[in-house]
Amino acid sequence: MNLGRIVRGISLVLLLMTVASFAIASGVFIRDFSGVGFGGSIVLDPRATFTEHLYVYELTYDLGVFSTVNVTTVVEAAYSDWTVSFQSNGSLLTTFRPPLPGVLTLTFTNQEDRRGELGYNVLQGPDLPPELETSLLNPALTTTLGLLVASVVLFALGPRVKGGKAA
Amino acid sequence: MRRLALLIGWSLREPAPWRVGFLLFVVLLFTLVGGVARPGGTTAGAALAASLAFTATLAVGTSYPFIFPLVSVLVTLAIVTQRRSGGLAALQAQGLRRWEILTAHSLAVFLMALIPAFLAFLVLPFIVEPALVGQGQLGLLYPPEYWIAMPRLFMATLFTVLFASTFAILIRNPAVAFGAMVTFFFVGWYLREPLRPYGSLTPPGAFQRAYFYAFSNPEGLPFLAADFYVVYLVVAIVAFLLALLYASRRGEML
Repeated sequence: MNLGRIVRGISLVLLLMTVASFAIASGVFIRDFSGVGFGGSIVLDPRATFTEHLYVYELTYDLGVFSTVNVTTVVEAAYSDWTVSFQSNGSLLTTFRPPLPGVLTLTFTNQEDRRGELGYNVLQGPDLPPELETSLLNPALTTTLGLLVASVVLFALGPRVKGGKAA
Repeated sequence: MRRLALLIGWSLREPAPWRVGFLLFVVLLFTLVGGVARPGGTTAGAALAASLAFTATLAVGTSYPFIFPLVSVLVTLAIVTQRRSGGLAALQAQGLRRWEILTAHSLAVFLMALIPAFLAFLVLPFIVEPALVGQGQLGLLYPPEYWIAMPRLFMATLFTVLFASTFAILIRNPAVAFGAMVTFFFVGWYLREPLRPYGSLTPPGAFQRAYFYAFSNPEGLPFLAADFYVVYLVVAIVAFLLALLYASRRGEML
């Protein structure tokens, strides 16, 4: 049995485990640090419509709409049939979760015959409690680093090991 | 040219560097997917195009700290380690010139970094807007803006390969050569923050801004920051050529 070949095989398996572990850590990165959200405030003319585009992951988002008039809010996926709509005449706090990642269109429509002010906010909410995600990050990164080092060491040792004896 | 192509082909047939290339692909894909930019635009198509293009632009800065260590590993494996083990001398014994060997190995490393980066860019739109894949509208997934934004990262990769190769040619000890190139790239990376708003003049900042005139120019600069990447590319090419000249003149280099 060629021990060198086995060592090289193990180094490849460890490299794949490194990638998987880094994938987990990246997911935590994405949820913890990116897509913190955005918002804005505008003046809506009577019966007027305001449209905004945003990119979303397949995660839960918090939506806040604050207006001085009756407003309809429609959230729809740009390239699929998924749509949700809300009606509010003051403060609205709700959540939505798109079935697929992609570009969403947010449409606010003033339902009254008078001008009104509108403020809105979209925040990316974590699917797991934030404390759990943060507590996952360091172990995942440490595991990734350890696996990477082990893989590189074994990969370097591979050519030096032949048939169970060091060459 | 035929000899260069042959040498590059030989280098690309080595399986070990492709593992590093695979790692580069995965890291870049995570970087791209994790940093999809918020789109702007009046229509959904324009928003998607702007989002993809901006993501590809920002990827230069976010993936730079991953690219340069991996490129340094590839260059160290391809040049310094090969020289130590006698691989380059064996090629020289076949009648190949020093500059041909070193240029071919550097270009092979560039391809090993370029191909994973390009593949990551090709995969990204499928993850960003999977609904379009189901509808078969692949044209919308690859808008012109996206193709125009991609070369910024490729040029940054070329810059790192050329400079890493320069270090690899000049320094014979693998550990010292690797340390020198990584330190050099780290300086460029860490100067971005303290140099604000002139961080766009560091290599990662310059390549991120390359031919992107929509960014505002830092105050007081007598030139356009969007053109500054040319300086880095020219300096890298000149440094590489000087190192080649040095290696060609020095008899025991390989």
